Amino acid sequence: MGKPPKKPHELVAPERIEHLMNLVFGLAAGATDRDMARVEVRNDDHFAELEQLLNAFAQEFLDARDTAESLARERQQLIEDQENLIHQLSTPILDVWKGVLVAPLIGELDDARMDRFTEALLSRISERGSTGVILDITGVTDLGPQTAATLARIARAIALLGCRAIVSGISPAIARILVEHGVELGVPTAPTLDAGLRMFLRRRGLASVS
Amino acid sequence: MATIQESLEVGLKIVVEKSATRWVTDTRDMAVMPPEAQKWTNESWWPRALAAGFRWLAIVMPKSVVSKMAIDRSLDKNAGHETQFFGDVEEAIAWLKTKP
Repeated sequence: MGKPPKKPHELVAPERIEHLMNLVFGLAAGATDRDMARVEVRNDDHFAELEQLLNAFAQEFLDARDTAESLARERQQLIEDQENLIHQLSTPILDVWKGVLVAPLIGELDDARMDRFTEALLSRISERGSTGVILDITGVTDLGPQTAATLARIARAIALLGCRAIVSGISPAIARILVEHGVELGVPTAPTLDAGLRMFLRRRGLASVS
Repeated sequence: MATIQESLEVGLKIVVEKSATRWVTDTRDMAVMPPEAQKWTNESWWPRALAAGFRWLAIVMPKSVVSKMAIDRSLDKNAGHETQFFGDVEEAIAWLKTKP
């Protein structure tokens, strides 16, 4: 059977207690309406003091919650801003020669980072009318087969914009990964950034640059 | 996120479809039930659940005392059901198994 009904209060009207309980439960459940977060004080008795006290407390509680939420939003915005800044700093795209960009990739290349990088790189190529891009992976710590495939897709996307791509900085360890997983980058490669730059310069008839 | 009312409606639908008489609910991480949900549970949900033959409710207690009091308030206006609070799911199920 359900619980037996509670005995009516002898001194305070049950609805006054009910209103106070609703006030507290409403606040606990996340109520935001300030007009609803108060009870009407009609009597001039000791219980009215409790009603007034809880009304005041409810308003202060809502103030404190508003402040906490505002701080949490500001903190979240700061985190997002810092993430954007870190992203920009970790994937710089440099103009190193007329029409030639160098994009050094550093650290771990996760999907989200590669997506943002691809978007930024393709926009830059389009804006500058670049004819060559060197994707330098000297600073890449780990290149899984999936990331290698992504790199190959970026190189193809670059080609679609009428731009030539070279992947430089392929270490022996990364070369082994590419071979083991049968990943074809589909673009010329160079062991170092320096060698990559020379390849572009040779194509432009500047082979004497040493 | 589903409201408490939406969750209870889904549960009641299953009660009706399966002719269920027993229910274990884990409220350990449940948010506090707002006053309007308490009222709705008492005035709308329980009468329909009882009419469908539902009888035994085992509740794994919320961590929050306020949340527990809110649930209490949503239970106390309807006779014809037996509801108990438990510390964990195993205890709750063991109790329900003693019911027909």
